[in-house]
Order: sequence, then structure tokens, then C-alpha cells
Amino acid sequence: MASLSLKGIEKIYANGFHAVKDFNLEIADKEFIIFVGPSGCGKSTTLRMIAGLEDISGGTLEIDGKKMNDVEPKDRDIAMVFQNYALYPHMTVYDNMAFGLKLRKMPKDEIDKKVHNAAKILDLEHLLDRKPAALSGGQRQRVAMGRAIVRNPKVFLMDEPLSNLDAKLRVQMRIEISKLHNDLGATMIYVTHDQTEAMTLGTRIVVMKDGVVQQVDTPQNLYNAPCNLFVAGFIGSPQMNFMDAAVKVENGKATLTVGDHILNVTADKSKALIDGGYDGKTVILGIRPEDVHDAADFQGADKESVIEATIKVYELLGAEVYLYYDFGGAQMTARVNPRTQLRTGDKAVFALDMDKIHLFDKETELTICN
Amino acid sequence: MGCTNMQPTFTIINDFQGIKGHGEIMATRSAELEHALKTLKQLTGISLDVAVDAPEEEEKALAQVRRLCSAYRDKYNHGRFLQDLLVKELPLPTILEEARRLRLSVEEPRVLFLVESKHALQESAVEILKLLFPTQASKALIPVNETRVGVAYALTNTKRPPAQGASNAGCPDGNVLKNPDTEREIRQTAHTIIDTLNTEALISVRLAYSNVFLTLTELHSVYEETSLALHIGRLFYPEQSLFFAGRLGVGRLIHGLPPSACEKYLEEIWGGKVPVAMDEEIMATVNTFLQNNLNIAETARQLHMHRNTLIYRINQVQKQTGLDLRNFEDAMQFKIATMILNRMNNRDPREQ
Repeated sequence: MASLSLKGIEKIYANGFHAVKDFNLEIADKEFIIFVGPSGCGKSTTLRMIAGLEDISGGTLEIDGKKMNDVEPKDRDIAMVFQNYALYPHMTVYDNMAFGLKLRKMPKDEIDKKVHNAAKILDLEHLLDRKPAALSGGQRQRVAMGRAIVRNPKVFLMDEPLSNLDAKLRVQMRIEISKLHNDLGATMIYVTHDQTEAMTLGTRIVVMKDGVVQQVDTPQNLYNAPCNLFVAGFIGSPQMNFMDAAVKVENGKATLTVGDHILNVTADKSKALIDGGYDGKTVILGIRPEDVHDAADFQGADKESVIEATIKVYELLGAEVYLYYDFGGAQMTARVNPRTQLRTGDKAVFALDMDKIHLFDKETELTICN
Repeated sequence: MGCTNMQPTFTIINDFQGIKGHGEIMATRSAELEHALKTLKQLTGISLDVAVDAPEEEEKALAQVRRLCSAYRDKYNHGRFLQDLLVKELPLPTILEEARRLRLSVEEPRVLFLVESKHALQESAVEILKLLFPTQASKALIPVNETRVGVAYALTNTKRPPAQGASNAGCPDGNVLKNPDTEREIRQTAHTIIDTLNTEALISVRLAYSNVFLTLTELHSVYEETSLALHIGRLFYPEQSLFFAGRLGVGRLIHGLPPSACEKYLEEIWGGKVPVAMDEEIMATVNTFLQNNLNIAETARQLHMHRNTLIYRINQVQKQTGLDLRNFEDAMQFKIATMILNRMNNRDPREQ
């Protein structure tokens, strides 16, 4: 398998459209890297540059230390699985998997060995004689994976491979891809716009927006310590609550005013606000829905962090309840225990876990403190 | 020459001696001859047994069987006829006669997918297309030149258009793509072609697809329209790989402008100093600025540049053109001007 190095990668199209800007990333051997971001953020373009399907306008791409900028896709030792895969309808599973190797004029016995190996990994051995029409959606997807596996590539590139599957199958295939990564010990780069897919699959995630890398980190770190407002809002579902908060420093201690509520902040966050010169300025306060507790759930809360609000919507998801309410001019969500007695229209008391709040600069949108 | 015939009865006109009649067939024939006979059977449905007892006779028999295959292929060559139909305007009676002879359905809703690669399309790419459309391959696949191949895909399983169905491909009244199911299916098929060629043949392609057309006689005009879609796509939307000939937006409008009008417009914007091409850095900056709805802070942040640098660049454009990009109307004029400049720089030699 292989390591990849992307140094200052740029993609500028002939019409001046700057799709990828100064992309820098080192991918270690056997890593499972996810490119995630909204539509049009440049994640697929970056993947296609790695594949050789798009020319690289600037920067250097190396695979295993070898510069690949001008190497033909077929000579990069990669395999791809894209969203709109198609199996050849008149061919058996075996022939579908073998076809790419036949095109490369590989000897028959070698093809046979590779197909059977891949089929074993993917649990497709008993289906090798079937035609695609006789397969379920998940089995077809596995055949598509099999076509990539038989190539025995250095790097697997996947562009939203699960997007055309229904929700249930997507979850199942997610687990299978994760298992596949462990079994193959392969370097994989996976593009998705779905943050849940990103969080569950990747060893590291690259969050992109408008062609620019926002943050590269482990799923846990992205969730707990986003580097800016965009990452904070993009990662996590339901998304982080945001509200404007005015900073006031008195006696060496900072407080945040949201609407008519004054919130005390912890000592480290207070220091970050004072050191950053935010006294008298407005910042953005972010708090994840699970860090907003209904009072019964959070007995020990600082009374300064307790707020009152009217529940606008009650949403039971089985294992948890989402409560929607307005606070400080923003719509907020609380993720609470399903045993809560609160219902739509009720006056509720919520405690904000001030230890878990995130503060962002309103102008630059960069994180002040997590 | 003597040959034993199976069904149907068939006699080869022989021009050489030595092939024995039935009962004297050589026990073994070369693999080449076997293959040629098998091919003949596949092409014509006719089974032949050829009896030879000397290598030179076999060679002659092989040549004759091959000539037969080639003559049959030539006579029933869908590809050649469709290729002619695609690139030339053939007279209606010729089209109808040829279609009848080749057993091609004239009245059938179809869509044309035109695939283009930057480099010569390898055999493998054509092979993949054949496999994607196995039931239609012989009648649908139309090699155009070494970088282009067309697929005249029959929508046999899709809903027919309303009875009024106009026969003109570009006519909105007869546009089957009004049916969202059909549109989705066609677009999905187009994506599948691109993704499969990307992943299996490892080649980068662009694809344009046409409106649904109802008779084969329209194939030439549909091809022209789809080619135009590829051209406009390459010119104005190089970041995309899929184009629908029925939705080319402002690109079609600008492409359709007479060169003299384009020249006048460019002179209005740049005076006498129309640039050969825009500075790449300036264009990248301006494009990001336009993408961000003329928002200076957001553009500066995305480009990792100080807002004063951005303002300086915007002022540079204003100095050259008199257009203040912070103003929507000026920004729109500039965008159109750059598209026109692009169109003029890539215009058809016949226009010059």
C-alpha cells in the first residue's frame, strides 16, 4: 500500500474558476481519509486530481515519494469506486470482477486467483455465477467494490459510493467498507458530503469549503475542537446551536450577555476572551444540543447558566428527544433524555454546560476557544 | 470446391480445386478456419463445413470465408450508416431505405449520448460502452472519430411523449424531458457512462446528451446540437463533465452572437485595448468575488489575502475597464465580457 503527499495542490479551470486552493495533506500508509464538505467545495475535484482524471494546476502530488502530476491514471496504481457505478448486465459477477483485468491482458489463472480472493473478502463466492439482475442492492455494491479490489491497487479512491443506496443499506455498507479497510490494510480516500459517514468511517477527516481545507483532524477532535464556525456547524447532527453574545469584562472576569441573560464563563474561556481583546465586542457562542440539559437532568448547574424558554417543537426519536426553542434571537435545539416530561408549549428551564461552550470571532469566524 | 452445407442450404462459388465433398472432411482444421466459420455463423446464421486436404487449400478457403464475413459486415454495417447519418445530412429516401435494409427502427424515441475524451479513445472504452448497452450495442454505438463516440440510446422502456410529440429535437412542445422520470433516468444513464469510463477504463471524458428525438431522420441535427453542447461546455463550463443540450444557459446565447457584435461589445468594455487573455490571477480573484456574491470579506478570507489586496485588484480591473465590480450591474457586464472574450478566443476558424 502507499502514502500520499499533496503539497500546495491547486485547481484553476480555463474560465478562471478556482476549484481547489492550496491543498496540503500528508496521508500515511493504510490511513482511511475522508474528504467532507458541502456540494461544490472541491472534494471530488481533489480526488479526481489524485486519480489523474483532472490535471493539476499547481502544487505537487506524490504517491510513495514519486511525483505523479503528469502520470497517466492507469499508471498510478489506483482503483476507484464512484457513485454511479454500473455492473455489466449480461455478465456474471465473476466476469464483472474479471473484466478490468482482462482489459489489461492479465493471464487467466492470475485473474481467477484475484477474483476468488476478492470474492472471499466480500463474501461473494457463492454468487460468482449470478448475473447482476439476480443480486440485491448491497450485493451489487459489493461487486463494484470487488472490481476495485481485484486490481490490488496502492490506493482506493471512493467518491460518494453509497449515495445511491437507501438509508438502511447505506448504514450496512458503511460497516462493510470499514471492515474492508481493516481487512485489506489499504490506503483509502473517501469523498462524502454526509458528515455522519465521515465521522463513522474516517481515521482522519478533511473538512473543505469553497475549495479551501478548513481543518484536518480525527473525528473526535473535529467534534470537540472545531477550528472555526463552519466546521463547528458542519460536523454534528443536529448541528451546534449558535447565538450572538456580548462580552463584558469586569474585575478580570468575562461574562457573556445573550438577549437579557448574563452567562458566566469558565476561567480558561474568560482568559481567552480577555487575552484576545474581546471586551465590549460581540462573539458567537456555540453549544452542542447534548450540552443543553433540562434542569432535572442537570441539578448541579450554575444558576447563572440556567435559561428559561418555551418549547416550540417536541421530537421523539426513540432513544432521545429533541426540544426546539428560541433563545437570544436564535433557534436552539436541546437533545435530552426521552423520559423528559416536557412537551410542545411547555415553559422549560435549561442549563447550559458552560464548560462545553465554543466561542468564535464574529468577523473572522475563527475559534476563540473550545 | 466442394463444401457440405448444413442449414440453410448454401453453396460457395469456388474458384479453386481440392476441397472435398461431404464425407471427406479433414479430421482437423486450423483454429483460424474454425474461428472464421464460427464468425460467419454468428454474422449470418449460416453453418458451413469446409473440407480441405492440403494446407494451401485451407488457406484459400479461409480467405474466402473471411471475404464472405467482410462482405456481410459491409452490407449490414449499422455503424457506418449511423455514422454517415450522424455527420451528414442524408436524403430522406436514403435514410428510410437503409434503415429498412438494416432493420433499424426509424420511429423510436432515442437520446444521443456523445462521449468525448481529451486523448484518443482506447478500444477498452468502446468495449465498456458495448457492455453497458449489450442489447443495443450493435445498433446504438456510433464511433465518430478517434476521440468521440456516440450512443443513440433507444428509450424502449420509458414513457412515450404526448401524442402531439413534435418531431423536432429542439422543439419544446415535443420534449419528452418534460417527464421528470425520463429526465432523471437519462441523466442517471449519462452519469453512469462517465463514472464507468472513469473507473473501469481510467480515462477522463466529457459527455453531452440530447433532447429525446423521435425519428432516426433527426439524428444529424441532434448530433449538431449535442456537439454544440460539448463545445459550449468546454468553453464556458470547463469544471463540468456533463452537459445537456437542452439547457446551456447564457453560454448558448453568447455562442450564438455574431463575431462583429462580440467585437463591438469588447471594445466598449476595454476601449481599444482588448486583452488577448485575462490575467490568470486577476480572473481567479474576480471569479471568487463573483462566486461570493460580491462579498469582499468572504472573498478575502477564502483567498487568504488581505482585504486591501483584494480591493487593489478590484481597482485594477476598474482602471482597465471602467467597471466597478462591487456594483452588480458592472460585475454582470464584466462576467459577460470575459465569456465573450473566451468565445472569441476559441471561435470556429470559419467565422474568422
